[in-house]
Amino acid sequence: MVAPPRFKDALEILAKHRVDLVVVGGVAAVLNGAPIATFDLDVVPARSQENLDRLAAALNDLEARYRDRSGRDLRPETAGLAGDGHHLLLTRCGPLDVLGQIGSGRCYEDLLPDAVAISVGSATVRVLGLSALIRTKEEAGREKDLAVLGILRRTLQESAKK
Amino acid sequence: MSDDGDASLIRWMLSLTPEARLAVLQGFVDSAVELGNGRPA
Repeated sequence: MVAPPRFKDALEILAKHRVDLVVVGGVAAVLNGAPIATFDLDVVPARSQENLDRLAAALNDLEARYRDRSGRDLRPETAGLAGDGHHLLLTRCGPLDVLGQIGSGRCYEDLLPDAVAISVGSATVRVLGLSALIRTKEEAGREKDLAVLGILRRTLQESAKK
Repeated sequence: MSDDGDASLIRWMLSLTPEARLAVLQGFVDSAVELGNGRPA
């Protein structure tokens, strides 16, 4: 059975293992104030060896497995996490997408200047800011990215008025 | 949803703390999961 999302718990476990990452995607949009819905947590981790080791430990803690259509029990491994690809996982805190890069090839170091630190429960996490989030979704250009651009742009406009 | 409705909802979300915004999302997800399980939220 697929565990339902528990976003705060997942973020706290990643923070407990001191994983350097930037939260992106729908959860980042919500943390920035956009009223959208999502069921998975998307993160872009730093890919230094030390951080990949911490990430692997966190994923083990989260009981992460690949979302494998044929039902194989595939666990993420440190070496595999080092690439640019997307790792679509299920965890005991719900779906977790570990992304090597987003948009037009933007990795952790590229996103970091546009990330803000936000407290969630006992964790402080880096979250991609709204302007950068919009840019990466424009770059990705997938239907699901384009579908939320309107509400993200409206949120950015409203937040500028505050 | 109308444009005004969008703006009202966005302003309400922006009035919340980030943690409270995440709680709103979590509440939506929990409700959807309960509905998917055939039980009232």
